[in-house]
Amino acid sequence: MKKAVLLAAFFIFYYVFATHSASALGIAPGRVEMNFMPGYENEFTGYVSSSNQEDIEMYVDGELKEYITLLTPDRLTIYPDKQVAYSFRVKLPETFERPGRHVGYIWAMQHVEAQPGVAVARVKVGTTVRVNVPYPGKYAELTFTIKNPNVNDTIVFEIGVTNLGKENITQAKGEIEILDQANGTLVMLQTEGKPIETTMTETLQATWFSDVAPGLYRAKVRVLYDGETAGLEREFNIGAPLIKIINASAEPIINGTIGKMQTKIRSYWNDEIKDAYLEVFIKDMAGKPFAQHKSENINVGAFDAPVITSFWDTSEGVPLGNYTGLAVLRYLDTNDTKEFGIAVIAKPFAFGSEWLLIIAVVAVIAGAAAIAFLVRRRKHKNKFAQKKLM
Amino acid sequence: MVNVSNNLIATLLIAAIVISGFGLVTIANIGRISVTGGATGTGAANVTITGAVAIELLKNFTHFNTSTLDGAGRIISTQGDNYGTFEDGGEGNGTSGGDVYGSCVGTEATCAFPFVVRNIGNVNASINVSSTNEASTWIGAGAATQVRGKNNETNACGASFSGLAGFGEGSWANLNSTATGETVVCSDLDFRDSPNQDEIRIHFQLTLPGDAVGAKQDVITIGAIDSS
Repeated sequence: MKKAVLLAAFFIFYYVFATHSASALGIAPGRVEMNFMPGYENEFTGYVSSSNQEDIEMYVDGELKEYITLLTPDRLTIYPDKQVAYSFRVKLPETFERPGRHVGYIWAMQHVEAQPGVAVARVKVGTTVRVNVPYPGKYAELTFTIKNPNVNDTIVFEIGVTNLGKENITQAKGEIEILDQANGTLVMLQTEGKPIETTMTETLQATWFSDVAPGLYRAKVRVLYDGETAGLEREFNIGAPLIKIINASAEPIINGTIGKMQTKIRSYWNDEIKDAYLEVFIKDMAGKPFAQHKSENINVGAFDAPVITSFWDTSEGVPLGNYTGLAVLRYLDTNDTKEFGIAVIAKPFAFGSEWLLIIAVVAVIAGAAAIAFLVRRRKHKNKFAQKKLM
Repeated sequence: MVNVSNNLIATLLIAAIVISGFGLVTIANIGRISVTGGATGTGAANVTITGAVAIELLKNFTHFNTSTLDGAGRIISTQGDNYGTFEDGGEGNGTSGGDVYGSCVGTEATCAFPFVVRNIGNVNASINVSSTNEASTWIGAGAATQVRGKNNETNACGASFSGLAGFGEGSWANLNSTATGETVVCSDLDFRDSPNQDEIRIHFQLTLPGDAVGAKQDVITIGAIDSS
């Protein structure tokens, strides 16, 4: 008894909650970036907007926190789709011990009150303040973007090279190695060479015609500049995972039985796609939803073309006629659909055992009746013959 | 909802235009400062000011409901079948279908949905999540909270999910408290609405100790900054 009481006490009430309405918050500018200048001081103005009436908390965070001062109140009230201005001062020191990027944030955050039994959700957006302190000598920082990552398309690779050093770079040249999932090198691309002045950014570009299967690939990027090397790696997808419904069909379903519907699908992706499933929605002759069925989740292997079987239980009887089925294949974040026809027909006549039994019973009854008739007729004849003799 | 978003975007764009103008003034000011402030002259004084960071929580309500634990630790998630009478997980935003698990039938009453975040700004954004307290503090010793990002629209986060675990999905990562720093779920959420690729889901997974008891409270914060 004591154990039962203890078990009953082991419960938890977890609830992540925010207002049910969509909650949107924005801040501008998104980023203020500057090259370090000793003692630099300036004031900036930004704006905060919200889709709802909000109390907003403003605060400063990050390693530049001590060099950023909010000039406007740390609590603002915003009205729907109106912007409210805020301002801040940046006052940099004479020196930074560490070269490179230094970052601070001015955050605008929804004000919420904690509620018992609830995990309250809120949104915050930040203005990033970025100060680039030059490195001694030459120092390249890289960004990498990939455009048109489609099969049989010209993919454009762009390396952004920023010279964060105090000296100009005479020439920077990029190499991009594309590897498949087995870590095999598919191609080595070269970019043009460019000089980059201190604090400036240049873009190095290479293109590649992607006559490869869709899937996950990896790019190894190296930039050679004046005897130095900078690098980064990035995974990327070529093409998109795609499964199509090849066809969907159903044999005529005999009313009162469980009917089968077959949907053939095909994957055009070179890797397994997990947790795909099929929903079949059935509409009646008037186009009204009538029934639906959801399949088990399946994992579709690379380039597989499985058939998914769905069922429609008509054991309790449905009106005879032609119905419309809509097969919806759901996978990852998308779906494919196909319509097909379904006929529900009456149970056809069949000369089965029950009919034999009925015929046998009728035959027995008919036979008995015939015998009875014959016996009676014979008796009647005998009686007539006896009367004639008398 | 669409009108609200459009109005917000319009407001932010106006703000961005105003700020662009302000940026020109700022650059002029820097020229003066560089003279009086004793700049070394090794760098061109410039300031880059970008547009607006803005996000919208399309789905901001995850309801696990209540259950009785049997003394054993349990893991419940917005992305799977859950123990006891806790609601099973469901993908999507709860209004447009999507994958479901177990007894979840795609409605808010029967599913624990993930959050859905849309980038409505005009720059790509890094999306992070934080909690006011560690799970062990607000749930109890042995508890943990984890989060992961997943595309709600194809390629929204590309290869920029934290701990890329497959196509369009990150790995589970411990949800940091505000004190220990935010947990980044997507370091580069696209802002382009066409083609549709500016929405991700944020899934939650809770490790509950067997002796977790009573109603709990905390504050979960979804944050966004310019990711460039």
